Amino acid sequence: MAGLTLRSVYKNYGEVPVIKGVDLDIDHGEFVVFVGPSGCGKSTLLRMIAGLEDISGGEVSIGDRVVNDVEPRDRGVAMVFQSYALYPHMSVYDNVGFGLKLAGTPKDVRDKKIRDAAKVLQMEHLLDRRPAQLSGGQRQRVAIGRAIVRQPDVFLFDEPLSNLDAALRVDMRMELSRLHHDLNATMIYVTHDQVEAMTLADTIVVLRAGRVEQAGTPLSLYDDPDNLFVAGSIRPRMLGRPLSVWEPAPCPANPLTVFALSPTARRKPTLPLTGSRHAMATMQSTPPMWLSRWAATA
Amino acid sequence: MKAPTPNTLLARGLIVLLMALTLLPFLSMLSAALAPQGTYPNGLQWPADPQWSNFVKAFEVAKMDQLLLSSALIVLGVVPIAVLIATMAGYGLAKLTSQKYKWLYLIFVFGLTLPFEAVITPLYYEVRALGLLNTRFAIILPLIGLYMPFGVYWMRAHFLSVPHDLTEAAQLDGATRWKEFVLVQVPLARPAIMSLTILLFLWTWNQFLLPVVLVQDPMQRTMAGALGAFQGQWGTDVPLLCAGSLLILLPTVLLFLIFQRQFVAALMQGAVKG
Repeated sequence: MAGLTLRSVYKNYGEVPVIKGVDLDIDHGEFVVFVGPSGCGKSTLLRMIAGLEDISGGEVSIGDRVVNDVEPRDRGVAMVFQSYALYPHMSVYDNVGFGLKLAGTPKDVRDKKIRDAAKVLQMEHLLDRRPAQLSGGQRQRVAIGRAIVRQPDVFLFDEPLSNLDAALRVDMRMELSRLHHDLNATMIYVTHDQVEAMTLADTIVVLRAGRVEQAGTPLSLYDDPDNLFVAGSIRPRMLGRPLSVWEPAPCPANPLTVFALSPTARRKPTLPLTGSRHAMATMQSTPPMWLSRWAATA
Repeated sequence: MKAPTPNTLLARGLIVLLMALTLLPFLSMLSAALAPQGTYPNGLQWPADPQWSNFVKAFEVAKMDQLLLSSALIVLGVVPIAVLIATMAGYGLAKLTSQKYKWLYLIFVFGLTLPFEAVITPLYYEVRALGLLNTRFAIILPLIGLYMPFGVYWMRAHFLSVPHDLTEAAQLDGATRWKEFVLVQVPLARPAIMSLTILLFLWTWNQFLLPVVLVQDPMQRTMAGALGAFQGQWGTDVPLLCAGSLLILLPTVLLFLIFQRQFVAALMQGAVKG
């Protein structure tokens, strides 16, 4: 396991600059979420960390090692793709074990690791199936399983939940959070969904047009955005209202799934804010219309 | 069941007509092949006393067993190598070529525009210079080369349709390019490889001009090429000629019956991909 450092990282496609100097320190075991509008470079940045895109300038280090010129397979990273990218001709078992097989892991060790991963993700009964025989949520599990068996230093997620329906997304969010806790791994997660960002992240990195606008804990971004863009990314419906009226409060019922705001809470939250993942606010009274609609689409 | 409308009846009628038109020459050949030796059958009536022994005789005089072996050797020499090279080149051009070298592919497309007949004369001199005239290599080597434009075009089209995410996932899983090709891309390309194999088999088996021009000895030719020699030798014995031709047709027909579904799929794929 290792942390990650980005030092004035640049990326150009021909003449067009896409990433314009990103500096970032990610600690071991941190859950970092990149948010931003589409085209802001968040996926590109993730792919540069993975080694799927060349780095035009600057340095990317994983642990203490500069990995600019290291092949993706030697970087110690695993990635979960938005499209899942499962191998259609292999069973779930072989999909999960493909990386281990390539690494020459002995068969019995491989088997154990695959079954352990399947157990963690509750997909033991799916091991013999082909990806085409799985639902979206099941495919997602397989993709995550493929990442965890290799015990990488860093997990990379590229909008992994965006192809799932709303209810399943909430479940998977919870599961990812649990996984992060259990594996104690460094995870970097790309999304454009601020609910996902707020519920999962230790650190949120807000990107705009290839630059980091602000990086910090969800609450610090929420309470103290550096500019209107960050405020709009994190609390889009709050713009134009006096911030003091709004205060986050933890949701005792379901800390991971509901990101709600309390319009009436003038008092301090009643439950301790233990890390951002539990810092989601809840209603003191009946929720306003926009919030229920928002929760339904999240 | 619904009663057929006049339109479907017409359509069916046309299909039956087309079928009859396709089968008629073969039936005509069959009737001629069964006529007694020394006669000149017109191929329009069933002989009163069908001479099935004509087929046995044709088999013997044409040395069909040797021809079958020769054809098989040529097919085995051409198809696996051509498919292998086309698959690798198709993968390379689809997945490994940077923007700067995309034009390389156009050379292969250009090859598609060259009519086969246009290269046969230079090919003759080249094969002669190589000292390969009258050997099966005179057929095998040029054919491998001549199939490349189509083969590469076909396989590249397939590899382009494979999502790039799979390549990247394999890379992150620790695969080298070579392992990714063997363990991920080739298994996924199986339908395309199958259709290419079938098409190349068919074209090689039916190869006529190349063997006739480059190989004198009929026993070193493909069956279809050997038919040329057979015709020259037995051109006056119409029943025997017809029997021999039908025998030469037979392996292709049998293979078609066995691999019917794959054949149709291969041709349909061509229809969609253009």
